[in-house]
Amino acid sequence: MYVYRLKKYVGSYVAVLGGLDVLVFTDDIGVHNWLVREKVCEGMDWCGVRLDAEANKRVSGDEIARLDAPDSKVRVLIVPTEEELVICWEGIALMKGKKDAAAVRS
Amino acid sequence: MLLLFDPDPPYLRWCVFEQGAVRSSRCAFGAEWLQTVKKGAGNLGRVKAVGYLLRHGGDRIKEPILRVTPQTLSEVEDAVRFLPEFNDMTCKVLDRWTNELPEIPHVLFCDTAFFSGLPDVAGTYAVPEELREKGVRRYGSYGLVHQWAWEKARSLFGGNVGKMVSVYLGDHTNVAALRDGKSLDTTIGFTPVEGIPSRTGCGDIDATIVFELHSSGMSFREINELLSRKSGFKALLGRRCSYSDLAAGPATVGNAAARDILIYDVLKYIGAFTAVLGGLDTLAFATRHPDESMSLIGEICGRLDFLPVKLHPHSSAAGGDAWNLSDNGARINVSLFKSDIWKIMAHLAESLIEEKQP
Repeated sequence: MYVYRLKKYVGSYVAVLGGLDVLVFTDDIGVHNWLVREKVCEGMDWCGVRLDAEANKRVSGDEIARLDAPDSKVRVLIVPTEEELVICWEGIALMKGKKDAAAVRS
Repeated sequence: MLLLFDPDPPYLRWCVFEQGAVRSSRCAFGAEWLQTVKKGAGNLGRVKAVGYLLRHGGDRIKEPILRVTPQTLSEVEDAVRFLPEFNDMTCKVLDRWTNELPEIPHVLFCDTAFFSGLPDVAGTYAVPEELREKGVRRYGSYGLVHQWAWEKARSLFGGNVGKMVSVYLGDHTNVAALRDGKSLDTTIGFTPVEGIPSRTGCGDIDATIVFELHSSGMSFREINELLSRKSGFKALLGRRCSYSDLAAGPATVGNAAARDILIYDVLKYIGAFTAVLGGLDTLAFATRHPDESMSLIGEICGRLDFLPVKLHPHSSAAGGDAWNLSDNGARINVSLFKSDIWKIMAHLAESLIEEKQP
């Protein structure tokens, strides 16, 4: 049921977006559970998603990585979350009186 | 001649069907309803069968059409608790007419039956087992229309309708996913309150809102009234608004907010069900108002260009009751059907009666 619901939401938002460029898996399950990713991407050819099955299983999950097959129209990524880092940048930006954390980072 | 009933609280809608012609009417469901129907129906001696639409079959009635027997009556009574307002009316009308005309066949049409075979993955709510055992699950509705749309699509496009999303556009818009004619998922849940907002129903909301309302002092009866009769497009626009007003177009002053939400929600479910089906062969729209729906369908399909859904540039809903809207050579078939619940019921009733009288 978990995977089924995920697929429904992916489909919903693909329709709302009018097509898909990038599919990102994140947080613990998204980054570390290859089986959930494999099941979610199964039969998603209709919106251009093709997973590289081997890369999906092999990926370490320590850093951002691409998992799409060479003939996939959509890029499939894992993005490990680093909320602490985001909070840190935002905090520094606030202290420096800057509105945009991106300005601090660069 | 057939006599057909459809509960629509506080009204009872009814119809005399004779030689392909529909003569429909409605009356308040008060003390006078029986007299009103008798007066309007004419010669009751010509009635060869009476049909009743049951909006919610509960967990026992799983046939879309069945002959009324004493056992059916007890099943209908049991189903009243699932959608009391509607089902209670069906129950009373059924009880009355089986007594009035005991010699002829009485048939029951169950609008949830088509979805009784929903896969568990689509039909189950993630709630404790004791609730699920009491029949808390997704039942869907408008099954008669979706099943009919599937048959129309098959005759319009030949065999190629395996993965179909069926969209009913009306005061209670809802969407169903069908694979090879079997129901796979649908927007309506335990009752028709779930799903896409309707004329007066809220559609999908977070269940804790009910808790919030109750905490603020509303009774459950008031909350039910609020979410099923005072919400939806009526609440968004602050006035009564029928589907045909909404479909008429953004030109109609002040309905853009509700219209945009309708389009957005239909798109979301088309996407969700395409994902569940693993692609799409047929996108079928059914409505009582085909002409008024053309611009709405155009907008929905325009945003599904990526699938790719391609409409024929000159598609229109003129003449007949079934239209192929897709462009020549398009991979995904798009169709529009003019649905009339009376005609669907009459067609089913006639085939059932003929079956029983070889």
